[in-house]
Amino acid sequence: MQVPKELKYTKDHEWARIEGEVVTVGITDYAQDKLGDVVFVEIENGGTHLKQGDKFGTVESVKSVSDLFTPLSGTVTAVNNGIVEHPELVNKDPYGKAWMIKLSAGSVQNEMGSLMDADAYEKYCREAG
Amino acid sequence: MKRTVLYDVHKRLNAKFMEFGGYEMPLQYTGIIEEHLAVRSAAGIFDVSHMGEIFISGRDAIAFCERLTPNHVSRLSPGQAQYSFLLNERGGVVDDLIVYRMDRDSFMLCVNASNTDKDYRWILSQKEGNVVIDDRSEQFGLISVQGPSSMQILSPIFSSAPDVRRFTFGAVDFKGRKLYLSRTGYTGEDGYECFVDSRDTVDLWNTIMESGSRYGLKPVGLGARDTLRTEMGYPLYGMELDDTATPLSANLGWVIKLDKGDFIGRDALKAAAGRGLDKKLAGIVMQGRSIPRHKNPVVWKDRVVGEVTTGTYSPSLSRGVAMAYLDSDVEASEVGVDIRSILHTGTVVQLPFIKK
Repeated sequence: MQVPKELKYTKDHEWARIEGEVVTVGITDYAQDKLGDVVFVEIENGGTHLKQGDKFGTVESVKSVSDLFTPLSGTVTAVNNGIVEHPELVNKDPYGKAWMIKLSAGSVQNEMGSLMDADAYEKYCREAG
Repeated sequence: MKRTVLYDVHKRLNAKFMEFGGYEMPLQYTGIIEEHLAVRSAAGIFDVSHMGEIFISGRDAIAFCERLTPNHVSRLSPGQAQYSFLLNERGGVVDDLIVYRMDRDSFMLCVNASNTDKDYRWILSQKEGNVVIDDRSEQFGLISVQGPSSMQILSPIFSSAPDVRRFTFGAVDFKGRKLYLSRTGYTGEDGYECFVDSRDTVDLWNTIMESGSRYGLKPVGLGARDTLRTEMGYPLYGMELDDTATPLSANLGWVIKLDKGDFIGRDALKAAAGRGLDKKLAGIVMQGRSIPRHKNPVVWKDRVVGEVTTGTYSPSLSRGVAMAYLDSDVEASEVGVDIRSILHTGTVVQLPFIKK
């Protein structure tokens, strides 16, 4: 299981890459493995302001449907249409080509406390099995 | 939760597990799509040991089975099998199953895991005449080998495999022990099911895996079993069939022999056939990428005309597909499927989704 050190993680298995005010969001390697073959991705709310924990889309494998929740508040500035066309990228490259949305976030410092760093997330996944 | 004797084998193959019919069963090994396509193009091996085997034997077994199930039991010779049901008095489905005629006075019913206990109690409650009813599910493992290469894979193990014709079975030798090899399955492909002593099941699995390695045989979980049967329009108990749904609405009227004499549920089905059906099972292929799911409403001309029973992704069609009971006055070639409150257009098709 890959857990890049530089990312922050949610209990719902989304990751956030924070670069200044730009936050990139996707789902983790653990999540794609649990889901199995991803065959459908839907991103809602392009251009809208999301509050931390708001739903921004849906990812479906052959067998299951999961909601996507934003790790941090911000305005959606970009949506990755590549994964809508090629949902299998979520399995192949969850931290790279399968990023899902980019947010323009304001001050995220007060929201960071609820996110996990890589070590904490890895431990969290191990305990979940 | 119960486990089959192959649990440790699945664990070593890195299976992901799911609960099904009270058992912890493999959902997938390497991936549902890959496993599905292996069965369509080469072969797959499935552990379906969770399924139940109920034996009915005795001098009156044939008369009892004729009353208990709606298909022509007396037309089966020993060594032949048929798809059938246990029906209740209202014509609803207690279970769908395969009846195997073992010999003159002995039958085996292969039933759904989730229904085995219910079926056994139902059969006991209907018992008539000189019959013995015996649930031997724990004594049997069941390994299914499905796909166009099945015969080549099994022939080196069972020399009679090519001679076992579709919907027949026979006792064959496996390392000095007897097992039943049946040409049946639930995938739409050629294939076999091996009813094997639970003590020999692991050995048989390993022997088949070895024989199949050069034919591209893959272990296949219940995830792909579900997409395979869905592409063929085969019903799954609890989805398309239940105690209230009649087989007539599920396009399974061919199983029901209304003229064969009395059987449980006959009067109700005869009346239903006379009235005409208010619902009929149809297939829907989605036009976009969205995937219909169980219980999604189906809409036609601003009216809800049905509900999805099975909805999934079809690996063969690379599309979302659904089975749904639609009001029989619906003459639509297109319907809307309400997925998370948005209507998505699907094409209504005749089942099966893929022609074999």
